[in-house]
Amino acid sequence: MAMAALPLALLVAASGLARVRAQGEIRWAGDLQGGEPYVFRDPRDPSKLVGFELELVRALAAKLGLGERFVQNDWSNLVPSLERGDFDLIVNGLEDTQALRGRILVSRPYFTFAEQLVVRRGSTLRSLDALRGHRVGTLASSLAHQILRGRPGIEIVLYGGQEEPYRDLELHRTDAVLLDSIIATRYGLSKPDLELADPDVARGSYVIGLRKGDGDLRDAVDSALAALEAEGELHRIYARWHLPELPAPAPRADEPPPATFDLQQVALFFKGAGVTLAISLLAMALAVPLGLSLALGRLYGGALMRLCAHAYIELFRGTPVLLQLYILYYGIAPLVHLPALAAAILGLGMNYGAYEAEVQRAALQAIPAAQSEAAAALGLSRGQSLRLVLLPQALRTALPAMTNDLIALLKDSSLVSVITVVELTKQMTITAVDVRSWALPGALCAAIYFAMSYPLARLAARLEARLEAAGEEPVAAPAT
Amino acid sequence: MIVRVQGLEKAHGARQVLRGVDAQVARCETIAIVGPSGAGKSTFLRCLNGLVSFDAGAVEIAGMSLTPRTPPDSPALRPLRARVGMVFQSFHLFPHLTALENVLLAPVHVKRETREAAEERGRALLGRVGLGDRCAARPMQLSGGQQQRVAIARALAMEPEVLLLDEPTSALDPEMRGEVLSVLRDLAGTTTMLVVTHEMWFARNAASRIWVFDEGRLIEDGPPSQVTENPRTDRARAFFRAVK
Repeated sequence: MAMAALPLALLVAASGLARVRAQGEIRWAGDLQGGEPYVFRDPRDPSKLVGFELELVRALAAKLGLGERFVQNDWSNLVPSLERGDFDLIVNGLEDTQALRGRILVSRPYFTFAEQLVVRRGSTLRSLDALRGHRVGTLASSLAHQILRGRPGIEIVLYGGQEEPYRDLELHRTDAVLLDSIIATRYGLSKPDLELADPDVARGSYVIGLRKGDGDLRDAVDSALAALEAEGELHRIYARWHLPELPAPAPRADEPPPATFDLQQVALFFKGAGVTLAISLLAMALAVPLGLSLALGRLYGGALMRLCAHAYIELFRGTPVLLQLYILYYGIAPLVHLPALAAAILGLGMNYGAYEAEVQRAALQAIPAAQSEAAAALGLSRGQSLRLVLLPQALRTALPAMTNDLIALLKDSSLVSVITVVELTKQMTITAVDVRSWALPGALCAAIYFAMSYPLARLAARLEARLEAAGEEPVAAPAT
Repeated sequence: MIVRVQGLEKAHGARQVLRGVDAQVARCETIAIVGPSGAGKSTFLRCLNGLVSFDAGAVEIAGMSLTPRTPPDSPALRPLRARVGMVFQSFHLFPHLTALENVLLAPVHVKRETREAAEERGRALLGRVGLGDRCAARPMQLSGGQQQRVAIARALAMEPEVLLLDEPTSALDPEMRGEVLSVLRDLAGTTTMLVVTHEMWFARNAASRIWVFDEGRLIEDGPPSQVTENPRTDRARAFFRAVK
């Protein structure tokens, strides 16, 4: 026992190279989503992986006399997962930046690319200078994102995947996309409506990422890469994948120093909080009347209306809100062109409308039947009875549950970052990557959420206490 | 005759609740409706303003007629209900409104009175039932007896031609019954009232006639002294002996 445990502990502490040798294989990570041509499932046989990075890693592993094993990991979280120890290498189009070098070890570059500006065919906005005051799409935390942030006046639209920026460009939601040449070739220039405006805005290179402390493994990887390059093996791999090789970039002197967590970043957080609050309140302002109409339709409507209201509620409660946002923003885009903010408010509002409908239906049904009988006995019409007697009572009963739903909505609103809206949580992740720390931005982000939701929670508690004092039962919120 | 009922029949499922009731009420009479529970008194009263639909027979009330099987939520019943007031056993005030707002609601929204006029009359009515100083109170802040007096003022605010009262004191403690009954006694003689009640003292002293219901039939109909002291039927005699 002790004899086996001791060397293992030493290996983990001291040497990355010894560790992978003990494993007998290199565990390397990438993201298969939008992975072509890096590493992706073979369309002819989805049980197999293909890609130029897979071939690169196999050649590398062979040089080191090891096997290799792929680990799937979300692209934007590759670095934190590496630090956690989930795998040994990141080989997935990782761009060499000062910020990255400050956080992990990187290998020598294995591929050089150009940042390329893609626009709609015939567009007059063909350079970053001309795009001042316009919307330009890119991937969050990429080198292109960093370049765009150095250009004040450009409105940056951030995406999580390679395909979506070009789709939005086609749909006139943006005026250009800046991304590296591999992505631009595969995902942008394959669309007939798009063309290249500037083929070489800047140069960058892909590197392999390793954990700090794995210096000997990095040296081994570097010499293996150098050998592969000298033998022409790298060149053969790129030729097989039709990847254009560019000369290595000149060392960039003008690269901005890594960001620090200063007042400007804090100001961005408050801006993000403003977006979160505005989206949540507007979505709730949509959800409450929508829910009320659905509840009334379900309780008092004809057979068809009851069926429609019921179907709506079950459909929107029974499918993920993330999917609804995707469909609203990307799915129906060829028919209806919604701006991202409108899609976010509409999507959350329509989803929460289904929950509010159930809250208000429960509140209406909790009113004793004698109340509508008393209203009828006075000669009030059904509409008057509803408006003057039943609804005021139901809304008071439902108010605590609706306040609780608003708190939930405040937090659920972070989902809208998938459709390019930068709200509080998204701002936090962007900042965290910039300043290479999650602790302080995370704490500030949590504090702002808390500052927004705690007063609401107090309000809900007070409303509940008031209802109980009045002898009425508050309606429990259905589990969301 | 302000109320005329002919051959009224009503069944709840298999149970026959009313088995052919004929009755008439003249303007400003006070009718006390008594009888054992389950006799059909409350159902009869609710048939008169359409809160319960009946199966056969005819009702004429306040110049309007009601036909069998009219659904309780039929819009055709609204003019009738504007002229026929109702007071319930458990008051059924609207808890989100003040006493005065409860009284105002129907005059403003059904009769389309101006708010000022309705408010003036509402305050006067609450004063008349002894609650002139509780206009701004919510139902939860009032005792049962006070709530029932607000409910009476709410019904009177519509200036009904007929007032139906369904056991108006049964949900009250004994000490609160007196305050409600004295309000009803003041109304007797100036308003047409049909009161389902167990208060024999009230029936004897305030009613112009007593009706005794038994098993869905009206078995006694006459002045209080005659009906209570010298009833025609054995069943009525047994009933009065039991409640004495």
